[in-house]
Amino acid sequence: MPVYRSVVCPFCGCLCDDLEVTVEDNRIIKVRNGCAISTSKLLHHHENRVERPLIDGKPATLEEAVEEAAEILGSARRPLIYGLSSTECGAIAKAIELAELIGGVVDNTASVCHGPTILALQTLGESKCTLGTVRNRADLIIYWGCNPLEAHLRHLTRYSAMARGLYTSGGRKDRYVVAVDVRETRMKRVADLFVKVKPGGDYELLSALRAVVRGYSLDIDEVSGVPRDVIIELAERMKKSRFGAIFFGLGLTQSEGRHMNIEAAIGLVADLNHHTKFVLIPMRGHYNVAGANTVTTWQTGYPYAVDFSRGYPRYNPGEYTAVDLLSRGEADAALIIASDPMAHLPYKAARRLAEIPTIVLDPKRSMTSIISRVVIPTAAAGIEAEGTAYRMDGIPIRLKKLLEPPEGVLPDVEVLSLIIEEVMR
Amino acid sequence: MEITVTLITGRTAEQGVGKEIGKPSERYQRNVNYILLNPRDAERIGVEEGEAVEVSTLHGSTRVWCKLSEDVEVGVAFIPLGPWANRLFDPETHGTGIPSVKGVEAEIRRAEGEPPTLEELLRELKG
Repeated sequence: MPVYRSVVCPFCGCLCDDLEVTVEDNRIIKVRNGCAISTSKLLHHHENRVERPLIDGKPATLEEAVEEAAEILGSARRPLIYGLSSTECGAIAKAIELAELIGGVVDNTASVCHGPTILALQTLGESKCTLGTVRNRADLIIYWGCNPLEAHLRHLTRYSAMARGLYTSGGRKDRYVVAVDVRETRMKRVADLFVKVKPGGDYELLSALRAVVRGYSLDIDEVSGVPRDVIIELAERMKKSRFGAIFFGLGLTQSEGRHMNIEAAIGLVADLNHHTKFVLIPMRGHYNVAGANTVTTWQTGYPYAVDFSRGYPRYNPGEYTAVDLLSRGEADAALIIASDPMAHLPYKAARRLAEIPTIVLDPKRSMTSIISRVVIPTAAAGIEAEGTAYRMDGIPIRLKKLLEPPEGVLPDVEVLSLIIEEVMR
Repeated sequence: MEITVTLITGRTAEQGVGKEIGKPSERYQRNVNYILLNPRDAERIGVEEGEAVEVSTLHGSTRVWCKLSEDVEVGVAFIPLGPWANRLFDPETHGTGIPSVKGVEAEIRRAEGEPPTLEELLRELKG
């Protein structure tokens, strides 16, 4: 019974690489060290599979499905290629090659999660480090608008609050932990200080912290529902820490202010670096969304929302991003790779996707695959196919192949190569 | 009777576990087809845990099951990301690519009838 060690989990941006997976008869029967979501993904990966290629809901051969996909994409005026955050880097590179070939738009799911983070980082730069450095050195950790207990389940124990490192051998007791959120999540029980901010009030609170760090006094009693004393104490604690880290999530990027919130956070971290060492790390969601941004940048110069309609890459979030392109009714065909936008985009955008011919590459049945014109099953990266993924801190990690995919089922990268060949024919 | 709340969306561990079993699975649907209300807010509109509520914003409405928790304060409600929540949000991104899905004002009242099933949502999407 083969036991694979140091398996990399293909679920979230933590890319934990210490799983032990036991395989019997090409089936995963046991997972050690995985979180609840990781274990669910690995143990249930064979359930709800797309069993064969489909065209209009009817079984087709892979050749027929690829031919139909190439026909749809080749004849579309404004094709959109979207998803890409839950597949490996080779497939992302191929998807961009295809976008260039058909003069389409290629976007990844960063556009609806940390897109605003990227906009802010492009403007102001970033102070960052690896998760290993946080584990070894950080004595102050702030979680702002994120809840690792629900979305990055092993982050606290492997990389941050509870982790034991070189200069933090006491683990949790060697660190001061702060959580900032609009509601009292379970992080309140983990944190030494829980700061409840009014919804939409993050920008003001970050700006008030900046003011205090810069030596200004606050002449009001509270900012965004947070008392002045709490703000002053937190600012002082930040300045006095040896090594501080802010992890932040969609509580900042998806609420009022969006990229301006991140700019305020970057400004705060920049100010703090006049006093001590401070870093800012986004909690990236899908396991390779950081890779989707990285590979898209290598190949086009831009991280997401890239349009090839003029034959060269142009970048404009708000125009070439999936939600905008779909809700304006502009996209007239779509290729979705390893993503389920029908379940996650606002209704108007999802509705457009249901109207136009859509092709989906996915190992599993999803809302998108149930509605799409062409469905092509693929091998799950990190389970049935190798590849590289980027952790939330930008570290590339090699994914392992643990199982053989079902007969005739190819990895995303190979299906995309077949579509490219067919379009060029 | 209806109440106005600030709606927060997000992911949950249970949604993640269900999603990885598969979107058609009962466990996924159970873990995204609900709204978390403070018990005092639920009392004001006369609903109990496990009953259906109608949630409306300027951009759409949906019916989901009601769950009660002190983790959300009075005037705030939490709804997990997914096909039920998505009907409530404005696709306008203000030039950023990202729609507003946190901190949106919503009205909540007791619902007539049960929430739609995933199949019904799909049928409606197809038009």
